[in-house]
Amino acid sequence: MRLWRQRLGARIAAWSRRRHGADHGTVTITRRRVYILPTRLGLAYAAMLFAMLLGGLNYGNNLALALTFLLAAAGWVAMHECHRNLVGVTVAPAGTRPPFAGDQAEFAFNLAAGSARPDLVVASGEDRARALTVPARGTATASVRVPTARRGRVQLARLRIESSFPLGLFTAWTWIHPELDCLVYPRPAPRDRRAPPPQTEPGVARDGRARGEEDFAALRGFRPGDPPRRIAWKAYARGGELVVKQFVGAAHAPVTFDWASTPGGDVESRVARLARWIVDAEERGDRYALLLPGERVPPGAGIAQRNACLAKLATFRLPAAAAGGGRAA
Amino acid sequence: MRLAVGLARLAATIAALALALAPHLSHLPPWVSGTVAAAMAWRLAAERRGWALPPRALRYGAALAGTLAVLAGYRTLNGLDAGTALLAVMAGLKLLETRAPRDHAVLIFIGYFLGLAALLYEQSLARLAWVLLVTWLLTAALARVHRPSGADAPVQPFRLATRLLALGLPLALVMFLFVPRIEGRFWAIPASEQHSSSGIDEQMSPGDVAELGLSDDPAFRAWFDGPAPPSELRYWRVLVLEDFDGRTWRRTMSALDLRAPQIEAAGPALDYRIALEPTGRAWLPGLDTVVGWPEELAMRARSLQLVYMDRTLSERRRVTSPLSYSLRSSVAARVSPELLPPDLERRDLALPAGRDPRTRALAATLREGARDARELVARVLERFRTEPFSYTLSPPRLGADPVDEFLFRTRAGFCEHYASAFAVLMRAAGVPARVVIGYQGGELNRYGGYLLVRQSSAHAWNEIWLAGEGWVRVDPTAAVAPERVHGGRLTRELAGEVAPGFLFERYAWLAELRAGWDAVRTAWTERVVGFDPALQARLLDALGLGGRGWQGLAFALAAGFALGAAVLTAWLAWELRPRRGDSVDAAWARVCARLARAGLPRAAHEGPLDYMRRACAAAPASAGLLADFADLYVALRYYPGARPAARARFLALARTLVPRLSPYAGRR
Repeated sequence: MRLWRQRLGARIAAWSRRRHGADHGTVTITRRRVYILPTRLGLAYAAMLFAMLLGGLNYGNNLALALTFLLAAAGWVAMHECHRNLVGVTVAPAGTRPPFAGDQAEFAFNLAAGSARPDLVVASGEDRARALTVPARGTATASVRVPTARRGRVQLARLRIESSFPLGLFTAWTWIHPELDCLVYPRPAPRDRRAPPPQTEPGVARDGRARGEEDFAALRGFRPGDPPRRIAWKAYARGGELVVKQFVGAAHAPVTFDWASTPGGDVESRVARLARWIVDAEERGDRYALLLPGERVPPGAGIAQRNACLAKLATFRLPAAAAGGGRAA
Repeated sequence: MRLAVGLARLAATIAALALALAPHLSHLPPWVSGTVAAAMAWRLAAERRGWALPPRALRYGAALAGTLAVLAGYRTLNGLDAGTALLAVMAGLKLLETRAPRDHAVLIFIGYFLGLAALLYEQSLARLAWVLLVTWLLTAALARVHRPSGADAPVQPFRLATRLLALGLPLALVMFLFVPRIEGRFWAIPASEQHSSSGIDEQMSPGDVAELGLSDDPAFRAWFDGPAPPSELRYWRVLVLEDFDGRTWRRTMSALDLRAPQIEAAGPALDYRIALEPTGRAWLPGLDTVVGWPEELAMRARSLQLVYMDRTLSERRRVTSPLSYSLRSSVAARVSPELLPPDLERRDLALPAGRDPRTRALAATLREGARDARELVARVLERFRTEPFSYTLSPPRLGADPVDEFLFRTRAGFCEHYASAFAVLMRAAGVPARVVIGYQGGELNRYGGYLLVRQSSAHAWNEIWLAGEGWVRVDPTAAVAPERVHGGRLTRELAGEVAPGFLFERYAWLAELRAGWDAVRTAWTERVVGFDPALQARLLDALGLGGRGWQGLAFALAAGFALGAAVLTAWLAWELRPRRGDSVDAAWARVCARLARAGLPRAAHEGPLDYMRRACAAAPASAGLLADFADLYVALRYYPGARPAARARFLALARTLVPRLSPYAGRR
């Protein structure tokens, strides 16, 4: 039964993909692509109405019939409203958040309609985002998550936007095939003392002191991207602002993480090692560069540098099959 | 599982359910109402305090016990009374396990059913208003229930319910008018639920009544084609009672005789239509002697089943919803004038042996001094008039020989006492006599142009058979209390007691108000409650779809649905049209469009500030203006307290920027 349902689901998915094609960029949901079916609650409602109709006819009671008809008409209006709630909504891809392999990739979408659309649910496969309301003016952002297994790219093949507004008697839905990719960063290797990150050459440090013994210099306001371990939590806990400790000596000459300097092993473990070094360096606030055979990322710091480096690692020497990424329906 | 539903949601469902239950309180057994109320209170407290809901075994046990208790109380689970009680019990028990939206939905559906049942009990305007209120609340509760978990914005459930019901109203009307009604029933309605609320019983034992309750409720209304007969001729016959056992008058089984009596119509025939309130009985009132029904109304009259030999009428089944029928009557017809069949004569002379000796003696005395039956009647009535007989609604109870006691000791009673005593006197004197019960009188409603007859006009009188004249009506009560007949209604002064409706007789404007309201209610009953296949056929005729039976109805329904769908679709499309923003949005859109034409379209992911930052970099000449423009836009759109001055400045900036961005486009 379950298998049968899965197969049917797959066939329907393929059919809808054929029917509507790939949706690149912003999609406006048209009447043609909105499907609607009664929910279980809707079927129960219909059964209730049928029983009421029989009762009203049996007793020859016009007011009972009138009540039945009123409820039926309200259900019918609800069906129209439900369908209409999706028509005219525009769905625009609004970026992705690359995960580390094994975590979930996040695809964000901006929904707008020019009129209020309550209770839209954006779903992909098993993941259902919270219901959201598209405001009359402006947009609402929804994100769906797709599980990942390995570094590379993961694709969001199909997005389902549904709504059972207003009474939950019907569910209207549409399928969108954005065919969006999201990078999947390699999962950093576990910290390992035997594989310390490369250091800048001795003596290059301005005052020659060993790492980690920088002098505390000053506090400055928190900026997005500052590593959490530099935040002065004590000051924050005392009721102050979020401030970040600055250290003299933090301004080292950049370290270069070189493919050649990773301990041996297969490609994946070396990539994971480099990822570990990059993540740690970013947390410390270091400046660093990445050198891969045939590719390099110039020195830099901050979250942008980290992402640039991890992106290089994500696709580095990827087997062609994996480059396409795991599909997610 | 944690309680997934909030207190507000629960309270909304429970409140709607409680209101749905309210009309049933009068007929539900107290233990049912008590159980449901307790369950509601407990469930709300449990939600507030976070108590655990009862375990499954307990709930199932309670459900079984509840069902058995209803079964024990009503001896059935079928029918309206038992069904309503069962629904109420199930609602109470369902409350004990209500957490998921599905449980709420079950409760709400039960609520709808309770509303339906309330209408099956009563079809008044007030009842409909109540049920509509309940429906609105239940629909709002349903709108609250279904919301997906974590739904962010509040949706006003009441507004939503109003909207759905209001938009559905036209279609509901189409269905009401064109969904075919059936004749007959899918399943039988148990006899137990035929409510005997009417004033007319099928038997009469005046000695056992200590207090006659007179209800002021309408019994029926009558529309006459011509003028209504004068009030002293408004005798509406319902039942003829011929069996007397010394205490109780009953209808005989031989009264089911369908032999047509010989009828000589005299005087003009009266054509009229009666709209009968539900009585729970099959008997139908008719004015005096029913001689037939008008040809043109034969269709409506078809539902009339039986006209008995004593010229009383009955329906095929008990009248549980308003019923309308047309008749032709004569107030001067002679019934069986030539011959009373011997078996019937025996029956109409029969008296139980050994009862009421003094009455028999009196009858013999009166008989001896009278030349004929007419004179005998006059003497009896004379006796009622001159001896200290009085009319009262709270007569003393009578013992073993009730007629003797009434005639010689208590001498106080209402119409039934007089009718019973008169019939016994007549029979003892050898004149065939019977008791007729029905209604006497009726007040003319000038707003609706009909005669309204109330339950309080219930009356009992006699018919005696005279050779050559047939059955002749005699109303002995009129001898004692002529106002009872000529005034149409009892007055307080007359009875010395508080009769219903005396306030209306004292204050004319109150009576007018009541007559007006009754006309409204009558129109309601006639047009809406009484909407039947005949009216439906007339409506189809008016639409030019007549004569095609169900095909005409199907066509009208389909057309109604198609039109409704088109109108609704257009309405929703108009309502959900993309709103063109205000002047701020328009100005923003103009500048963005200008930038886009210059090769700098806004990316989908770009917020206004990011976009303008990019624009500043690309068009350094306008950078300052663009930066201000972006800041103002953000302030106007996202800062709730933005000043009007900011708006003016923003619009001015837009006017400056649009032309300035053009040369920039040229340079590119």
